[in-house]
Amino acid sequence: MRDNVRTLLFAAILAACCSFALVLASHYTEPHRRQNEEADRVRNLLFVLEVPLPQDANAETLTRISKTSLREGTLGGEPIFEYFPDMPPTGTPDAVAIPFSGPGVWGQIHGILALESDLVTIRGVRFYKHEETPGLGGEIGTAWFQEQFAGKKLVSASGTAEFRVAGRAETNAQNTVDGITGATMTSLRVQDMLTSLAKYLSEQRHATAK
Amino acid sequence: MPQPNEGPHSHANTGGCTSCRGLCKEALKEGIYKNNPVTCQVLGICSCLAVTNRLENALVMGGALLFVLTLSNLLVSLLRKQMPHRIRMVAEVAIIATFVIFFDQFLKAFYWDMSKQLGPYVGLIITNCIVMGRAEAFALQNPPLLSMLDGIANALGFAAVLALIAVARELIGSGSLLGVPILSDAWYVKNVLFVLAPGAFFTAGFLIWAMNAIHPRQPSESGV
Repeated sequence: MRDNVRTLLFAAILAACCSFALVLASHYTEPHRRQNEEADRVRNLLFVLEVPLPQDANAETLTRISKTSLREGTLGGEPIFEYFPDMPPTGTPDAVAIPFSGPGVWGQIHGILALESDLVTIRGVRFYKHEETPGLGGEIGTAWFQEQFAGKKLVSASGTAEFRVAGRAETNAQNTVDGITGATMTSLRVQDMLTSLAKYLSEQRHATAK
Repeated sequence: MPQPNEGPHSHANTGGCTSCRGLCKEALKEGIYKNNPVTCQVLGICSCLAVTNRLENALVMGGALLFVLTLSNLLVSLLRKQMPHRIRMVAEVAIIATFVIFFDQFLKAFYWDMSKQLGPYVGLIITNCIVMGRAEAFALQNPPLLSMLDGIANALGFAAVLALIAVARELIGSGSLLGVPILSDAWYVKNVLFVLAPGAFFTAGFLIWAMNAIHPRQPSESGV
């Protein structure tokens, strides 16, 4: 009996101490973590839209630039970011950034796709938050993988709205990029995500054309 | 002969540390080389295979284990007399998890890019057998400072093996070290196999073989 009380008491005290320490740690790092996440989001937006940025811009500069040259809008109910190089905004935006997300292999993949004003040609893409295997699926976050997307289109040569992540031999097609060796599952998930986005955008284009 | 460079044991703790001069040295030697957690005990293989494709990742992982193992061994050893035997493993995991989350939050707050690179593997230190193994096998039976030293030794052993594997893999697989190109694209064809998991198996296998060839284990030690 006394043993049980002792065991319970030890467990309770240890749990309380550990929780308290963790709450403290979380409390002190939270502003930094939030700042990092926000700066990361803005940096990705500006980068993918190819907004000219000063060398080693800090979080404040990034926020200021994003406030002056980006305008939040919607496209068929989905939030988008329109880039106007000249202020005040006139005419059609220079480019449009669309946030997207979808299931990866281990968790959600979050990304931003920047399109030219025709809403078909890709200006750039960033996969900025994911939990894919480092060194394999995690390669979707690297420059070589993301750079391939520039200039590709969200429709095939025959006009179907789809995007493909396939073998290197097929990358001369206008809607295909090279997949990642050893990360076929991640590549396929990215392909699904971009294809559904392509289909959605094609519907939106048709809706506005009517 | 008293050795001046083993100062930490001359003060603070009274738990038998005055007589441990040989033991301390032995603990360091065991952890780093003679009974290396990776090459001899073949523990911690998950992260050893996963994060060794780049040297930078391997070094941060080694640092993470150094932090966690040192402090968890110290705390488990401090609590070893109070800890009820039946719940000791749960208690150890709680302690280990606390330190791991500390480190993870620290990375997220101050080394954002690295925390993204390592993904889930920092969190997975909680289930790393080396940490639990040292707590069970060493910290529960030994005084705090000696346990801490054992933690440092084992973490250094782990980090050294990770770094060795990562040097081989990054150099052969990506032609670079710490992200700096070493082998020029002009004449070197990158061997992608070494970036993938099989490359880690081959490298780790060769390393274990080499360690065994240099320092064969005695039959009595390996329990055969």
